[in-house]
Amino acid sequence: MSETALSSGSACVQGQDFPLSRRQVGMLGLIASESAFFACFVVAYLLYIGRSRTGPYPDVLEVPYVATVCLLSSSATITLALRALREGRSRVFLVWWTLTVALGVAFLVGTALEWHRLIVREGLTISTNLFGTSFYSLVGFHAAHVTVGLLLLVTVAAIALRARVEPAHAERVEMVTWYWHFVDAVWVVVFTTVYWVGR
Amino acid sequence: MASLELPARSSIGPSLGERLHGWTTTVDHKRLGLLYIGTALVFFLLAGLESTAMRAQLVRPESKLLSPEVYDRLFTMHGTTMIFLFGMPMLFGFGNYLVPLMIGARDLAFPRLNALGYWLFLFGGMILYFSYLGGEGVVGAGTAPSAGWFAYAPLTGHAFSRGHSIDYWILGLLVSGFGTLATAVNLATTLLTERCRGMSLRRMPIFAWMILVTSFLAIFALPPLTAAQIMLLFDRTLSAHFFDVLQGGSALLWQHLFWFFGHPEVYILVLPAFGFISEIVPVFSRKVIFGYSLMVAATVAIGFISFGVWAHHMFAVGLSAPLNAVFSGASFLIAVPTGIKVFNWLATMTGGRIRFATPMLFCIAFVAQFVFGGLTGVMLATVPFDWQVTDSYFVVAHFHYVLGGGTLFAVMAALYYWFPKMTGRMLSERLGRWHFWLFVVGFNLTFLPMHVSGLLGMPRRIYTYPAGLGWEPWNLAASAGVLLQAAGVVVLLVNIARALRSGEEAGPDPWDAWTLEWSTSSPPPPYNFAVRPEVSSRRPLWDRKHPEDPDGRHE
Amino acid sequence: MHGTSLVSMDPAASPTRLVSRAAAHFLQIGESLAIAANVAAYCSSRFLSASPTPGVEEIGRAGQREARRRLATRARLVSFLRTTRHRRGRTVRPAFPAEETDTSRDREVRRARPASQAGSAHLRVRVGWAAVALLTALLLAAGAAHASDRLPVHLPKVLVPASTPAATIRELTNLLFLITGAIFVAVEGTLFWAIWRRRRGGDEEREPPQVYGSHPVELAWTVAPLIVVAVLFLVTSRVVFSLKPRTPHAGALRVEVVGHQWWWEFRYPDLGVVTANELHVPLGDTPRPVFLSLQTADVIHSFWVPALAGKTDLIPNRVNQLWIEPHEPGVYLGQCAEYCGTQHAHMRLRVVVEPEADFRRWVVDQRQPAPRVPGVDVGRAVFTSLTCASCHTIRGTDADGTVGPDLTHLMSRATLGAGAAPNDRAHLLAWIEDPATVKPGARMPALRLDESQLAALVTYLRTLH
Repeated sequence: MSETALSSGSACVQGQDFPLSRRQVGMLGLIASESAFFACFVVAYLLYIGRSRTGPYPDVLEVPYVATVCLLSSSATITLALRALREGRSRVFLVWWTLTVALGVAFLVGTALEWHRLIVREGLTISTNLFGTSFYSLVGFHAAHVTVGLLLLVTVAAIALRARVEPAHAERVEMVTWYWHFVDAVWVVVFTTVYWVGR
Repeated sequence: MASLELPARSSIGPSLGERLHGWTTTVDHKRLGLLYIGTALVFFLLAGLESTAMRAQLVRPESKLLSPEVYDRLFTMHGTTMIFLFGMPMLFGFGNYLVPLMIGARDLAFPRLNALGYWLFLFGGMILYFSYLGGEGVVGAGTAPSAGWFAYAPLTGHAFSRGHSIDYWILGLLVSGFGTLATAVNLATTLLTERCRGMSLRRMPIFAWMILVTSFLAIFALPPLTAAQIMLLFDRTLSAHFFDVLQGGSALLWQHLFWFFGHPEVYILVLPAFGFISEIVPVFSRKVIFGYSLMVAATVAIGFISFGVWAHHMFAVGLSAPLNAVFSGASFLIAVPTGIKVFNWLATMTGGRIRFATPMLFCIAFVAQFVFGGLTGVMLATVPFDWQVTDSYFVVAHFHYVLGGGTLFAVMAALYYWFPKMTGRMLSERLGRWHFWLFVVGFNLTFLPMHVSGLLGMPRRIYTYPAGLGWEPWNLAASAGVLLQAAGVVVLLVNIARALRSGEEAGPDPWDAWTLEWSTSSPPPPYNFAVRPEVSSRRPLWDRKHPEDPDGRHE
Repeated sequence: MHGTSLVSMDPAASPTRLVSRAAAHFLQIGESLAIAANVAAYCSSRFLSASPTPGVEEIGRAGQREARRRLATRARLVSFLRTTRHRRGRTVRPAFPAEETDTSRDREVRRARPASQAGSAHLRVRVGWAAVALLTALLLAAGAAHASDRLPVHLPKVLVPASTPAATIRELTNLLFLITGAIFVAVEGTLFWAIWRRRRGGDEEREPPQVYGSHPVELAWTVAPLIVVAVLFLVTSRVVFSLKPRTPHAGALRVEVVGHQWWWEFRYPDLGVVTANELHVPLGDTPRPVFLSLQTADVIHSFWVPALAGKTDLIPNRVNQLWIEPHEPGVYLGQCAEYCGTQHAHMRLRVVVEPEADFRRWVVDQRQPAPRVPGVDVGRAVFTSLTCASCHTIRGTDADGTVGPDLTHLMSRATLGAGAAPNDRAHLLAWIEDPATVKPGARMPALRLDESQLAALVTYLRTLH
């Protein structure tokens, strides 16, 4: 029936073919707009390097190696989870998926600890100077996007626990993985800007 | 096989509550499109009232009709409303309504996201207008924002704009901006993935192409505005220093971010208008659009180049000479694909059997006025000339010619053209002509003299001006034109009201047109097409009407 | 009240000089266009000619294969370029499968007013434009210089330059008007012609020939605008570089402009002069450049005196440079041109271009402290004891505030409040009593003085020449 064709999500049987499904195009659109958004904060950060009139300065930063490794390896684990899902191994899928969530949480915990140190010990807040302003907004928005990603991941995990996530749902789950990979890619850019270029 | 049971018209219809519920919870792109169009019209009237008040203040020199604070709020709200709450929603509203019908789809790709987009727009606008009531804040300063629609820092910082007026400006636009972004992603996805069989990208109606490019512009241009506004919000509420000049913040950062959004924004406002013209002119010239491929190529070119010209709004800021030259060159360059489109429309009209129905009248005026505004744009791209006339009434005249004489006239053409499809009723041709003539004379009477007052040294955004500088007659004429435009708008509203109540019934295809939306009933059923069509040319209805002479062979 | 005492018509610039410069530019452009057209014609004739390029010698079979391949490619290109896709046949327009109402609407449309109506709309627009041009010309040509000051007051007209940068811009503007005017006439004329010469009456049953495109035409109207744009870009770049800020040479006059909400501060660092709202500039036997550095104390402003130069913004944390080179004496009016808050409309400025001797006298006067005139001690005491002194400076007294304008030589200026009111006793009284009545929103508070204090203060201030 024509109504079910509408709800299938992939290219409609009666429609013109396009290499990507509408879910994929939609997620790519979101990723494109978010990239533009992040680019603006990166630009502001780069512009304000070395222009703070008072301290603390970027030398108070400690490179978050552990958190970075956690986040980047979560990209690997989520890929493994998706592959397991496609092959129908739902238990394996759940294990890798939960590991991804854990790694994401670990990243956020690392960020929180770093911020605590910066605020309490170094006295750096968003209103201290240009460095504080550009640092907290850039890293903060990234952390916010990680948080949203975690919410998506947890939602999928909850569904997987209570019902079954089938291979037929693989594309929807894949969209969540695309978002997660995007968040990781943004971290690579943020990391390079803040902890490498900016120091 | 389940059959759709639609309530018979003659039976007792749904109650008012049911009808309201239907409209509030709808995800049907047609209903949402109508909601967008209707809401945008309301904001248009509000912005029109604001500009009427402004022109009343400027009718004579040193007028004490309005205080400077009130005047500053008026021009800020007028600009913000026209661009964010009338222009974009109106055009995306038409896109919402027409795109699925034109490409043979049943709805947008994400119907619920579509509904979210509309309600975000509506509530964003309401937040902005609530500032008239609630902007005072604790300090008692501000009501509606008064820093101009482009809100330059540091004037918008909490040092110079106390109270909450700017916060309302930010929040209102953030909320409605998310809605616009959602709709843009939705439309782009729909156009790429939901076309009916046979409709390759090269067979899409030109309006569909325009919406596609516009959506991409919105996806990449709106986030910088969001980012800049969030930075400003942090400055104002969290004492951040993005634009805090005392701490070394850069006022130019705001300008760069804003205009990186601002320039693609004006193309967002004009490309769908080009789409309207490209659909209407062929039908009323009885000829296919001339040079489809070049039109599409020019549109894509405009899309790309529009991201490279933003600093032409900043020529007076003191950028280096090479930078000024580069942006000047890019601004000249973007005039070329725009000009090409105009030539294509003229070639379409040449040799055609032109029917002067109301939509066509507005299209002709569009072409005449847009060319004029485009040429003053070429003049403004000439940096040294821009140094004289930017921030004067010359540039006000320029952008009103392209956005008013351009987009607004195209919107009016679209209203008259697609009203029968959307409502099943025809608008009165007689009232349409009255509307047209009142409006076109009034519009030109208002904005043509502004070129002169700009060249005579009148800066923009001033609530009054001294006598003796020679600015009086031009301002008087400009204010007089407003009366005619207002009369034209009143005639339009009367026309719409009358047509809705007792207008002539329109058939599915009152204009003898060629795109897919005219193959449905007027208004179309909720599902658009009982069977999704299959097309083999750019003008599927031409093929149906002339089966012995289909288009596909000649494209 | 105000009216014509502040301003007057200016003496006309020499029209012949402007026209001859414009003609020279136009000829230059014409030359370049002619060359370009020649090149284009040559290339296209070579391409479109059926015979192979003369002088190419292909020897041997491989050479002949190569020649044949090249010929085939060129033939394909030629046929592509020549293609006009259109249908010569007359397609029959079927009867509408519609109800009565549709055809009645057709009839209504046909019965509607004839196309001359639309043509007359165009006529109206073009008449309007002609009227604007005429009026502008009249404005330029007219001009009785009636000077109420000893120096004529020049209106802030972009098209009436009195300084090198403004004159350079004017020449460019002439060229611009010519080019865009020509394009305007061509395009609007085509629109008018397309409507005027449309198919009328005759066989309503048939659709007109459907023309889908035409490669030569589309190529032409892509290339021609590109050429025009290239020309404009080159000319613009040249002028941009010629007008860009220069470093002041030794001994040149430098002025620091500081923008405030809503007044102008002018400092002459080499001459030790500080004043407000009125800028004095010397005019020697030959025009000499004056270098302005532009800064702001608060928000963004813009320095615009149209007769002297284009505008340049005053940006916080940034020093912009502007130079002017006046040609004739006079008082030039200008105004802030970037919205800067409530009283942006009253942030006006005057540039007084005067002969060298007068300028030197002015500098000497400005450097003196406030004249010690007898009989105004009461007023002076009011000034220095109240909050006036915390915002304003009067050299020679204890008042040394820097929030508001320097008032040491208040009476040497023609206006109050940066052009908000003329500088006479009545307005000065009103201003001090409550600035909001003259300039609502101004930062100066109403001091609530009683009548005698007010009168004494005003009497004192009016001695500050």
